[in-house]
Amino acid sequence: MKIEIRRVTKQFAATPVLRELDLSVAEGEFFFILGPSGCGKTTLLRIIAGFEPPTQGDVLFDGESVLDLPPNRRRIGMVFQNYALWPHLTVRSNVEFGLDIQKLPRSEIAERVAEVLEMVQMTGYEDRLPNQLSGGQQQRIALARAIVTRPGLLLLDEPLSNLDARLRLEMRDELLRVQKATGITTIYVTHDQKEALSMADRMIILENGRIVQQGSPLEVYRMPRTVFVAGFMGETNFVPGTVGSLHTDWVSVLTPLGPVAGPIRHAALQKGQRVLVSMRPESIRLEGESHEPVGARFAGRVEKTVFMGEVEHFWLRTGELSLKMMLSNPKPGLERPGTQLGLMVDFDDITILAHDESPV
Amino acid sequence: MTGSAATRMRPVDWGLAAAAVLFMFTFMIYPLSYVFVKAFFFGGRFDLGFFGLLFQNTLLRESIVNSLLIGTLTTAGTTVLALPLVYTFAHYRFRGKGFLQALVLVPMILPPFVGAIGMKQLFARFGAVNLLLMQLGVIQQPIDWFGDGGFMGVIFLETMNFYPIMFLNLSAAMANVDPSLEEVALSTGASRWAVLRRITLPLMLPGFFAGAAIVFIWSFTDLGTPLIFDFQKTISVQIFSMVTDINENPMGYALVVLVIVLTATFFLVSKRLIGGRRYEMLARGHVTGREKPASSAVAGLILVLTVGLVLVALLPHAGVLLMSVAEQWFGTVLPVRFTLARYQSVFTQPLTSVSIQNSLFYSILSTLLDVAMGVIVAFLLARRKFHGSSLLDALVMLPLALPGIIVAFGYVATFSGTFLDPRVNPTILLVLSYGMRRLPYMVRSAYAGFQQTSVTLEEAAQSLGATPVRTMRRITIPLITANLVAGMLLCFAYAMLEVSDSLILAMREEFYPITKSIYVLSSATSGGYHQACALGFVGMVILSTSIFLAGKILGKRLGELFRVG
Repeated sequence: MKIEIRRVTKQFAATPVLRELDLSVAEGEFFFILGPSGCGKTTLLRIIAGFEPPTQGDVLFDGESVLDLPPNRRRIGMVFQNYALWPHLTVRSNVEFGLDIQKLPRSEIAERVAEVLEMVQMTGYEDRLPNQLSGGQQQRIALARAIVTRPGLLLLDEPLSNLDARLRLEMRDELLRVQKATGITTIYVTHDQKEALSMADRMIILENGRIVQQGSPLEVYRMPRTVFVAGFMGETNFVPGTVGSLHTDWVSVLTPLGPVAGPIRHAALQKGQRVLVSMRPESIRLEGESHEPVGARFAGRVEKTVFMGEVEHFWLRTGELSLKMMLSNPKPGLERPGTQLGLMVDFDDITILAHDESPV
Repeated sequence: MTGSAATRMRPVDWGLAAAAVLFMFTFMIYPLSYVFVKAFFFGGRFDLGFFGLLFQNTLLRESIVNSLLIGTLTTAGTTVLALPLVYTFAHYRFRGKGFLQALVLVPMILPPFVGAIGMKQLFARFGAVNLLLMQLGVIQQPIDWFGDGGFMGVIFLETMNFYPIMFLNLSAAMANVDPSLEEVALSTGASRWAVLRRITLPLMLPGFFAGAAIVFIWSFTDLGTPLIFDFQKTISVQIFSMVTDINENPMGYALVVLVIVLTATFFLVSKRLIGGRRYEMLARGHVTGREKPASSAVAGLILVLTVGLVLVALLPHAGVLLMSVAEQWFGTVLPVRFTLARYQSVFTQPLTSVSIQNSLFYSILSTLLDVAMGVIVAFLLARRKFHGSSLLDALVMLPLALPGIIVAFGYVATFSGTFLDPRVNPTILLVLSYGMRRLPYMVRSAYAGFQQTSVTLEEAAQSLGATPVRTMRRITIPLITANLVAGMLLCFAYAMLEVSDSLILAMREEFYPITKSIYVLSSATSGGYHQACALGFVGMVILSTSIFLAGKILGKRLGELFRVG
């Protein structure tokens, strides 16, 4: 099913929660709505599901407005943060509920329940009650219940946030596998950027009820449009500066680190404008490690390091600034505090952001 | 079990627990056992003969059937009234909803016993309603509203009095069902009706059971209402009339035992059938209500129906008010001439003025008893781990399911001839029975307070050097004051209008509480009838005021006071 949101606005009393949102989700796409708590992402999901009416705007499924359809006629499947398994019904009764409502023949119901339980690897648990299942198992049953009716759209509301770290990783793979196997258009709401980066085909980032950026995980991570997105998508170093010289597709910025060159991606910059330069910790390298065009080159003194195994985190001081660097496969000998290092960042890894946080 | 330092029992805790258990045994278990023994061993021999006699006696047999019918029909009636109200209030949001939610609870604080007097007047054969209908030409012959000597009247009054209890229990049950359980059912394609039938109602059953058990037991054993209607054929009235010759006639004991057995059986069977499973709601999702704004037409309809219901429920009490200010009221739709003289005499005549003082005195003492017992027991249950805590819990909650008439009967039987003899001075037994009956409210109320107050707040005080007693006084008690005040007002209000204990235990006029005075006056001459109404109205005013004040003091909506029930 193809989903379109047109200029959707939602207000609770006088408080705007969503402001004129436009977005579309393609058939079979695994689409993420990402944002911090209170950004309106759950409200948007509930508007799509039909539990809340938008104050203004339209929601279309396959080109037809569904605003007049109640949730039970929108052909959706939902998985809630708390799974919302019915505690008085067994696993089997939970899963077959939707098929039962459709009044399918018993034999077909049994067949489809068996099929979906196998898909989520829960065969053999049919007669358990929900409180006899572990968190991960409840999650699988909630997923099975949502997809057994073969909905046109699957809606997931922070489905992994109640699981511990290890199970969360396992269930990411599981969800991805099931989504690809069924091909159901899926909208997934989360505040966890790692979930979005690792699973999404495409995503939007919401801030205060507005879409501040949309795109593939790689685009959003490497080319954030705003300071907020850059900080929200992962760790980064912000270095303040002013625009020195403007060129057609690149710009030179004067910073405490010296001049920094970076590509112009989104913002219309002006000479003398105050900007922030974003450099992710993993993009800072030891001098001579990379042969790509260079964006910044500076010296740093090691203040502190934390060895994590596959990577090592360095806190560096250059003048007044404190920067974080991450080296993979670190060599011993660099970690001694006071060590002076020559450092560089590739031109393509530099992001120049307008100081003003509003999207430009 | 090895508790942490914070939950370990200290000697003083053991002392408190032992005192509480001893108290419950002396004033609840012992009188009950005494009744059992008397019922089975009369004259020193084991004998089941009295139970056979119970069923051979036509009057008693009919009384048993009537009481069971009253209990069942009242439970059904309250459910039919409460469920749509609960559903509507849970699903719609509209202006004035908080007010309506408080309004539907009002009939609960007005005693059906007093209402019965007004009801009798309004719906008598030549009462106001029949006269009005005949004048309007709707009917030719007066209608027998009460049916069968008051049977329908009793059921009507009890339904109107008890539906708020059902409302509170069903509301709590519905609030306890996570809305996401309904939403996910809707998302699978189920209609609203299917969701209600297959998801919401099954999950509400345990809460329904909690309400139904109380409504059934209270209406099954209610004494005041049938007594005022002079409807003799109920178990409670029969037991009441047997109290006087308790020493000669063992039938009373057998009847009381039968009531206990029937109550327990009903309780256990229905618990087995519907209330046994308590669904542990799994982790709750994001907080979303079910409420949708109601269109003005829907809101208007809700308003009209709710106010209509409350007006009908309050009609008997309006009759009481009219009766109290009528010089006389017979043969006309409304009284012709009015007087306030009876309100003057309520406070000057010895019978009524003394009974008001008595009721205040008994109720204040019993409330203090409840506070002391309730805080101690709730503290032990919430903050200490010990063997026998479930016994203590069961002991203090048992009075909720124990009909007042049983407690009072047991007291008369057990303490006659001792220094507590109610024939000499019933003060102590009245205070004890009032306190005992309402102890569960106080315990629940205080327990909820302890539960809501994090132990870490207490531990923080102790880590700074405060003793446990000082911690309790400076930290815990102030934090649970709201719960304590709510529990106290509930205990006080119910003690003021306690009927069955008062009627049975207060045997001499100088010790009459309000309810006994009303009963005595209402069964006297017609002038006494008007006087009874005036006293009844004074009682209603005292109660409504205390509940209203509680709402003001706590700054919460009225309904939350009664959630503990």
